[in-house]
Amino acid sequence: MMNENIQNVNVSNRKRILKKYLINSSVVLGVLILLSILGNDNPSVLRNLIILASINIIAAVSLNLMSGSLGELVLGHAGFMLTGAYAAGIFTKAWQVSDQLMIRFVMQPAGYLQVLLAVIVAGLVAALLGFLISIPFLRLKGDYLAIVTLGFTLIMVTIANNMPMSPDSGWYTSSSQGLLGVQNLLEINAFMAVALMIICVTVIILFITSRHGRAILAIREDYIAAEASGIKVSKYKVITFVISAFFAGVAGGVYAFYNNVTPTSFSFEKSIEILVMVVLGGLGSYTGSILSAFTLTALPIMLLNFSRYQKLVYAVILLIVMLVKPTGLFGTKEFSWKALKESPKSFMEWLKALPKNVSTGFKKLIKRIKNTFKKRSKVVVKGGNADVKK
Amino acid sequence: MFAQKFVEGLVAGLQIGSIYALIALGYTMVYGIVKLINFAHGEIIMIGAFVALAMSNLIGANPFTMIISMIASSVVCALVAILVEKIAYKPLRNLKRITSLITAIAMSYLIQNVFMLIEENQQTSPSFIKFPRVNFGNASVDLYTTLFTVGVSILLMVGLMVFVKKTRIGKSMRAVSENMDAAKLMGVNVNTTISITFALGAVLAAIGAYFYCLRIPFFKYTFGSIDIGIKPFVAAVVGGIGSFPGAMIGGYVIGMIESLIGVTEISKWKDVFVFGILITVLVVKPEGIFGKNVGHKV
Repeated sequence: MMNENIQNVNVSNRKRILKKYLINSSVVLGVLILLSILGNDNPSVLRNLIILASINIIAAVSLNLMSGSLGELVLGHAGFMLTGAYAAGIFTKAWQVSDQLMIRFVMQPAGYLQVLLAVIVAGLVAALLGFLISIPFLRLKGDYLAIVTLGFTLIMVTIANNMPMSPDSGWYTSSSQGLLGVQNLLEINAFMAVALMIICVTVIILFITSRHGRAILAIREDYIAAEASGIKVSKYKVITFVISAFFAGVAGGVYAFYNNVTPTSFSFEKSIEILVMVVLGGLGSYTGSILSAFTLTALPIMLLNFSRYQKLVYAVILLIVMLVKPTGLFGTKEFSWKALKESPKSFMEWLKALPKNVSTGFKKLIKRIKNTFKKRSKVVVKGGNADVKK
Repeated sequence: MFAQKFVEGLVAGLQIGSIYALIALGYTMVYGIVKLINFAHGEIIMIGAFVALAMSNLIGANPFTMIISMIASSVVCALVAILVEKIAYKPLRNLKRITSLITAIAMSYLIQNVFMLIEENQQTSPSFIKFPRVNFGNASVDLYTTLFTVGVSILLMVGLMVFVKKTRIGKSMRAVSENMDAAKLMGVNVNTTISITFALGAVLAAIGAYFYCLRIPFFKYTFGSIDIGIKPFVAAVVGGIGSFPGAMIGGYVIGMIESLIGVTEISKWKDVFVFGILITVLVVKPEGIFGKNVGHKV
């Protein structure tokens, strides 16, 4: 009897999970088909938007792995993207030059496969670099890590700026002009960009929901307790950093097939841009990162004359989100229909409580202003420790 | 040839080193008291330079007006720094460190972009004082400007040291940086002390901006973040963040290395060297040359 019950539960559970997977994958497939049809026309705003949004989503999700799930602020993502873009570009140009090589005949259906290969190379180069620097860098924490990774980005930009100039030097780059004409050799289309984005996001989400992902979340919550429970903290930190660098490299690699890459296109500001996307969506929420990356990419493209104020708006968004809701839009939770259904209810509750909250806040403010202008007596004693805030 | 370049690099290094030291002191003071990297500090320097320009247009540029405009720019910078602290850092003081780090970056970005909207183009630096150049054999160096910069900076640094060691406010600054809660219990007004710390750092930054204007012919709204914002920070970290002598020596070391590399053939790579030093120091001795190693409480 008991056994039967458990089996029944198991079967229904499995059915539910299967249903969930089916729904999720059909939605993802639908998104893929819809976006690749929408972005089909070559010179169109929609195509640019879809490709750029895909690149930014890959970058934001990979930064979320580091800053959201592991809880370490990293400002080096632009450096990894730059590395990836250069790796993919040099790889493609080298391939194009070595026309006689066997490999070209082996892999005839060039387009897709070549882009895929170049993007993987980009990711691997960035991951290797990430591995090399992670060993010294991850000894640091918090603001020191942020500064060191910022320094890493600036070093990468300087190196890219000083790459040899002449085209026959074998590097296929031209110093401050960067990589010219990769997208003339091979241009990415909306389908490829969206498909790559879906693959990257799926891999990262599968990773973070796995056993290793839970270990990383445990490190974020309390690394001493995690270490005491047998989680190898440094190992997991290095793994997260390398995976994050890999996908940042992939994002850069995709960018190389979309637009000209110059050293300044991935400077400090790009790191901030991606950070804004992650923070707005909520540090630790992957669906939040995806939604906010898409929105923040669409805004400047859709609104004309906006680009002048773009960075100002980014700064204001960062500031307001941090001051009003430091967890971001979704917090560490993921997007779900259930929460969306319940949100009108909670919104109404919030609205009902609003006048009261505003009036108490206003009263407090007036009291504070009055207190500042009041003449102070020399000794103020208010019931022991009561007004000492901890 | 080599000797000539060496002398040029040495003099320029002393000059930029004192500027870095002044600015690094601002970083170190703020870090010591609120344990926060004040990313907006570079932007304060930029504001100082813009105020200097506005004042030179307003009342003319000569050594006498320099003193007046220095005071004006110090006041403006101090007010902006206090405002930044009140808006962006104070409400988040009890939350996770990553939140105030993000607001610090946001604040820096915000100020920079406001100034981009105000004035986008490159500006000519105001020249309040013009010293003649001095020739050493073949080398032509800006000796008097350097001596002026180094002299005033060292005077300011000594003044700051005396202020922190001897006065009541300095005492409360040290108390708050040691233990904020205990200082509060002893009757120190923590908020005022923190505001004064930010203001002092901003005054040093504003004066640093004047010296930087003497050195660099042009500036733009971005110069606060990369050129003069991050390298003094590197100096502060290399010297040991939170330590006053560390910030000064770190400033001179970074300035010297940068300008000595700047006169050689590998001058294009000088940023790589500067950040390489930062990374090496952080990896080998994360607390910096003069910093104290504080253990982590479980």
